[in-house]
Amino acid sequence: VEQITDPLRTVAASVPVRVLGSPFRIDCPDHGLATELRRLLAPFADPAGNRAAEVIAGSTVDRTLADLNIAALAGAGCLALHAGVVARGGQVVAFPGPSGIGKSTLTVACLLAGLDYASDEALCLDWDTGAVGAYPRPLALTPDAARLAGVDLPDPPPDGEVVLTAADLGATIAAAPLTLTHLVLPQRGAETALRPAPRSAAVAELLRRCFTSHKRPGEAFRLLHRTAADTTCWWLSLADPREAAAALAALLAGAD
Amino acid sequence: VTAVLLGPPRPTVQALELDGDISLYDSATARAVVLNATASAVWRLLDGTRDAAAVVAALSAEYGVAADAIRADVERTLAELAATGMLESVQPSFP
Repeated sequence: VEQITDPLRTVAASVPVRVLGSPFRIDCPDHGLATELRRLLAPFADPAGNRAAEVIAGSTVDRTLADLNIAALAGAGCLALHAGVVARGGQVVAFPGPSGIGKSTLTVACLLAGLDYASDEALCLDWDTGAVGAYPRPLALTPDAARLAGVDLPDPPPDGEVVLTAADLGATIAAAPLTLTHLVLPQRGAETALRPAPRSAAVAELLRRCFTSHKRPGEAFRLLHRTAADTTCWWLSLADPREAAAALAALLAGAD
Repeated sequence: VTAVLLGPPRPTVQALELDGDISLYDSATARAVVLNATASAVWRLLDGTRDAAAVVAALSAEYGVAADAIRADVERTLAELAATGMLESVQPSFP
């Protein structure tokens, strides 16, 4: 039974965006939400809008961004998998892993260390070429995680999650062309350290983290295998995100 | 005693190798499996001409280790590979 709880919901403003190739229109009940979403979603702005856009009902910032993320990944025209992704000079490090392993915290620490932002959520690979596409959604962290990553927060910190853009962190969004050069497999550890990993371990982890492999499973298998074959693979023992970010930055040193 | 020949892989299974480790994908089930080096060595022998004892013997000769030392591990790996459903039905042989 579907209960209609707000049949007279009003729309004060709409925010048109294009995310991972799909058009969306976020209908906001107040102008404050629309203004904040326009700021956070500036890389995805679609000023002309699109009549065929899927409508997202705006609520809170956190909830609206989460709904948009789910809808965008469902419609993604690429092979998307759960990973943090940072870059320097067009060379990309991706760290696939499950929710809660610290991808967003590590991503923020990487941006503060001077790397470019591609995504804290999804490694997006072109089905045909394997080229990396950026998905620079806003970064949402708990205040504790943000501090761990090195973000200066007011005291007391804001309620709820801290939502940041790359620009808020002084970072830039990674620009195409982007080539994946390193796959890093994070694991919680007592000390932060990188050590070489077998590429088959990376294949297994990439397969586990796929969002969209069900659309073309055979192609996904071959693309992920090819992707691992073309990269250097590492285990990352993850204790301190800032130390880990420095280690990832060192992997890309000289890429400028 | 009837020996059981193991394999070959189902025709829907694609195997790709990277640094000696084999990854398998079965287009009939959309299932993928990544094998470590040991399981990959076992998989290469499952062409439908060997039973478990022959697989142990072949690995023993290839790696220069006693058959008794590897039998339990190989049999466990064979069971795991059979459980993937990526091998043809085992066939009885008639020695």
